[in-house]
Parts: sequence; structure tokens; C-alpha cells
Amino acid sequence: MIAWLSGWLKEIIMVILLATFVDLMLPNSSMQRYVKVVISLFILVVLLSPILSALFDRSFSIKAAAELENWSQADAYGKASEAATRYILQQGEKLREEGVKQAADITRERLAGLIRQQIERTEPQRVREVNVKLDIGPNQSLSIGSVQVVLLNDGERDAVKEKSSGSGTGLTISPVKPIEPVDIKIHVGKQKSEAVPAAARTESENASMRETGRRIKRMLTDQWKIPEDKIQIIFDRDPSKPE
Amino acid sequence: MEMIQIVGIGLIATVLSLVIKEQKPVFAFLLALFTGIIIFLYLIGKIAAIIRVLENLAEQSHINMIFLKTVLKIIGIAYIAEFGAQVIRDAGQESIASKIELAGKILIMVMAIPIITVIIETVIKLLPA
Repeated sequence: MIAWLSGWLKEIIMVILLATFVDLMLPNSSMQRYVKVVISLFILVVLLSPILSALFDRSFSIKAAAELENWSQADAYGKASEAATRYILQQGEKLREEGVKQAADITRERLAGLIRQQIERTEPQRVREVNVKLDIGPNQSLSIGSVQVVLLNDGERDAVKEKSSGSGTGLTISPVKPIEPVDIKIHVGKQKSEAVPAAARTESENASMRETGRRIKRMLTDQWKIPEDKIQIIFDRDPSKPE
Repeated sequence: MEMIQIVGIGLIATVLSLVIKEQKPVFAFLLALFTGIIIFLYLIGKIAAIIRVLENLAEQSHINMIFLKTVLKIIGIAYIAEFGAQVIRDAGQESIASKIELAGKILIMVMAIPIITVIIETVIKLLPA
């Protein structure tokens, strides 16, 4: 609603600015009156378009624009309808593209949620976030571009639960303060060196983390057919734990 | 600097046409015409810059481009009609000049026809039959 209102206001402001500009530009002559009539009609259309669209005729402004397009492209005998059709088709195309974009957004969120649930079912670590990037293909087909999983490396969830069960509210999550994420990009086949955090991890922890990463990757490739090189697992230390 | 150049061209052309006018009025008219065209060409770059700015503004405010196009067309028609009429008036043909102005006015009004039709149609639809 607010977005629509601001769009409408923007349009009105723009048209009035244009009108002022035209007024300045005009050669001082008898043309002035005629031009003012046309410009004021424009302003009228812009002012009326939301009201009229809301009342009954959804496509008022589009129709006005199409009509203009017609007249500007019609020759003396008026091959008008072609231009109008073309214009309306263009509008339809624009709408369709927007629809595809929205569908992609919804799909992305759903997919991230599903992957998150799956990982939380099978793995001991808590999942902080799952980011999925989708690629839109040439004929509006969606494909998974990349998946990034950020895990909180705080050992077993159950242990955390037990520790905080005294408070009765389950996990107490302190506000997340920005910390440097510890990147362990696990590429199958070649081991990448990891960024060592301030508090260096032990070898066994690293091994278990690598193992977890492998497991998650295998699961994702099995279930979602995502190629392994598009999956990125990141371990993050729990900010609620002291250094 | 540009302003001075333009005024310079205008002054030179005026002096020359005053000199020629005694002998050959036709050439004086042509001189005035071409001076006008040269000054106009001089300004075309600047006009393009203005139009570009307006287009950017229109795109940002999601206004329909066809409105901007129409407005620019109106300015163009008004200026061309004005220019032509003035040159012809200088040559002493008042009647032809007024015809050109008439043509300009009518073409501007034609631009308004589609808007008027859309508004009227919509209003008629609003009224109960």
C-alpha cells in the first residue's frame, strides 16, 4: 500500500516537474495555451489513474499509454491497433518476469528450510543459516546454483540443552555479535587449509568437522541432486560461548 | 564563451544581411535561415544532455515513458513551428507564417486526442447506462 502510494506520488511529482520544464522551454508565443492544455490533461490522467483503476477499470493507465502509443505510431490511415497490442504484450511480458522472480524467491526460502530441517535431524550441530542461490534458466526454468550451510560448532546440541535445562526455556540465545566465521571449505579431492581461529582447534575436532561436512554433502547430493562443488559448509563458533 | 560565439555569429549574419538586402533580398533571407539553423545545431548537444537527464528521472520515478516522449514531442513541435514562422515573418510573408503556427497548434492538439478519448470513455463507463 505504502509502496504503491509512494509510486503514485513519484509519478505525480515527475509529471508536474515535466510540466514546469515544458513551460520554461516554450517559445513565448500563442503556443503556450495549447501546450498547457495537453500538459494539464497528462496531469489529470496521472492523478486519476489510481482512482479509476481502483473503481472499476484496472488497466486505465495502461490503456491511456497504449492509446498514446497508437496515435504516435499511426500513419494518416491509422494502423493503430498493432501498436496497442504490442504495448499490452510488452506489459504482459514484464508481469510474467516479475512472477518468475517471486516464484524463485519462494522456492529458495522453502528449499533452505527443508535442507535446514534435514541437517538438524541428522547432525548434532545447530544450523545457523542455510543460503540457497537459484539460477533462472533461459526458459524460466529454475536450477540450484549454490548452497551454503553455516553450522554452529558448539558440539552436541543435546549437551547444550542439558546444560541450560535449569532455566526451563531451552536454549538461551545471546544476541549475536559479529565474529569472524571460520571458513572450512571442504573440497572433495583437495584439502584446503583452514583459517585457524584465535582459539586453535584440536586435531580431532577438525577431523570430526570434516566428517560432518562430508556427511552433509553426501546427503544433499543424494537427496537434492546438487553437485558437490556447489555446496559450501562453514563452521562458526557459538557466540554465546566464552572464548 | 559559447554564448559569445553565438552572439558573434548572429551579429555577423545581421551585418551581412543588411549589406545584401539592398541588392538581393533573397540572399538576405537565406542567410538568416542558415544562421538560425547553425545556431540550432550548435545547441543540439546541450538539448540532448537535458533530454537524457529527463529520461533518467522518468525511469527512476517509473513514469510511463510514452508520457515523456509525448511531452518532448510537444516541445519539439512548438520550437520548430516557432522557428519556421519567425524566419518567414522576417521575409515579410505574414500569412504563410501564421499558417505554420496553425499547423503547430493543430499537431499539438492531436497529441492530446488519445488522452481526451481515454478520459471521456472512462467517465462514460462510470456513469450508469
